[in-house]
Amino acid sequence: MNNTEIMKNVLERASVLLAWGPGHDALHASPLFARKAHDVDKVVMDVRAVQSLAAYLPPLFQSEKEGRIAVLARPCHVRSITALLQEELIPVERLILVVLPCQGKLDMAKVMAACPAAESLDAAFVDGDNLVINADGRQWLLRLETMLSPACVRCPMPELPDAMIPEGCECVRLDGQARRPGEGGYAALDAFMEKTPQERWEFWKQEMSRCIRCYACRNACPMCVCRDHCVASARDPHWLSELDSVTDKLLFQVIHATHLAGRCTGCGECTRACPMGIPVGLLKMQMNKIVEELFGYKAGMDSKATPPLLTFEAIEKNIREKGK
Amino acid sequence: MPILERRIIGFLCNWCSYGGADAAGVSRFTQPTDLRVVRLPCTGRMNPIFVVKALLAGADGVLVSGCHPKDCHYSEGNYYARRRLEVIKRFLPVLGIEPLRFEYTWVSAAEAKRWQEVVTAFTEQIHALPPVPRLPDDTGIERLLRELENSPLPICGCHAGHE
Ligand code: SF4
Ligand code: SF4
Repeated sequence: MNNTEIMKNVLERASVLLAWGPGHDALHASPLFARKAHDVDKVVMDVRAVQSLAAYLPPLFQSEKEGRIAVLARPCHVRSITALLQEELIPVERLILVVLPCQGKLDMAKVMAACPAAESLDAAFVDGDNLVINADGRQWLLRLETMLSPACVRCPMPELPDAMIPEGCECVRLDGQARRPGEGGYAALDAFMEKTPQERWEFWKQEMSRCIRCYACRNACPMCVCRDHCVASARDPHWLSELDSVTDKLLFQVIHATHLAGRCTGCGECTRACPMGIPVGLLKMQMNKIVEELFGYKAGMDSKATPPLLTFEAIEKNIREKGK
Repeated sequence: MPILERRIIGFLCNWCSYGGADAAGVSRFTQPTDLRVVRLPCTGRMNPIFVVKALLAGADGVLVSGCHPKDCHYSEGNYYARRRLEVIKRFLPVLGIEPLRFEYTWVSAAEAKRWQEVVTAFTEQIHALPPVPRLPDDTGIERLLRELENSPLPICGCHAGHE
């Protein structure tokens, strides 16, 4: 069976297959909810399929109309889904994971910078190691490796290990070649932390003054499951005013990062979704690093693990508090 | 130069540190006067965002104090708090905020003397730092209006020449 046949076969057992399909132009793919076999023919799953579909799962599972739900997932998306399973936000028995060996995903900001003409392109496709863009009567050949999102370049797990398949979850693998693994780690954060504290403060002051408070960073996050009950829009308690002041916007980012402590899988969706190009993922990366140092824990690796901020030890190995 | 007061917010557990602070007052122990106290039912009520909200709103320091581990009135509130507060303390540097602006500690109701030491040491620690940096409080609309006021061009054609 080729991949299209595999997906059609899965769809026979599910009411919907969450996938990617054609977007507003040849360079972009959009989320596609495939319900009929012929929808599967439209699926796009190369480097252009940049969104994580995990954020659609919790609300979709609430719908009584849905039967089983199948979802196309890169290995990093599987971590988000595992994290949702850890908190029992989605039911494992109604889920079908369709995992693709990952070739990485494009960083659209990099593509646009390398080829501004891509705003109005005629064609875009992947040819071997290159992304080919036809626009303005010219052709651009962009080396894929230089156009991928930084998270993909460093991704340690482009092929999902069997041990990472959540317990009790039906998982179907698609055929294909994964890219070579990167070394993981927190390189972008470490580079940022080399700045002085004053520079860091000024950096966020600058970046947050550009924030338009659209909350795309929150809405794209697979782990932001509160939806209409987000504290950011609550009047009581009134954590944030309705002003677009830098203080409110920075405080919102701190709220997102704290609410993701021990839950963020580092999928990078928040940074990707920001229309202003603000690297808000750095704040969560710091949170993830702290959680790893303190509790030796990474979210979304084990569907049976308890997130560390939901539990405690009477004697904490790595915390030296004052006054003991 | 006279040492001005700094703004320090203390979040104290009702069952222990609040009592300890009260006992220190009743015993007439000399204490610095910079601290403003918010009483909590338990440090488990302490949302880490209280810390950042206070610092961004202009507090120079935040001190949280609760019951010693094993002595929580609700048996486990301070254990959860310890994890959350340690995480937020380590988070402050990425924002460029000095982590010494925040401490959490344990003081029981019987430890009036220890309360005096804790609050004195923390106040000194905050006085050794410059005042907390502030973000501009004006909003985008205020900035825009200011720019328009200073702009040499009329705002729109309709009102040009009608002054
Ligand atoms: S906070 Fe950002 S990186 Fe973390 S899970 Fe949410 S979208 Fe992904
Ligand atoms: S996506 Fe970007 S602009 Fe929108 S609220 Fe988040 S940080 Fe601000």
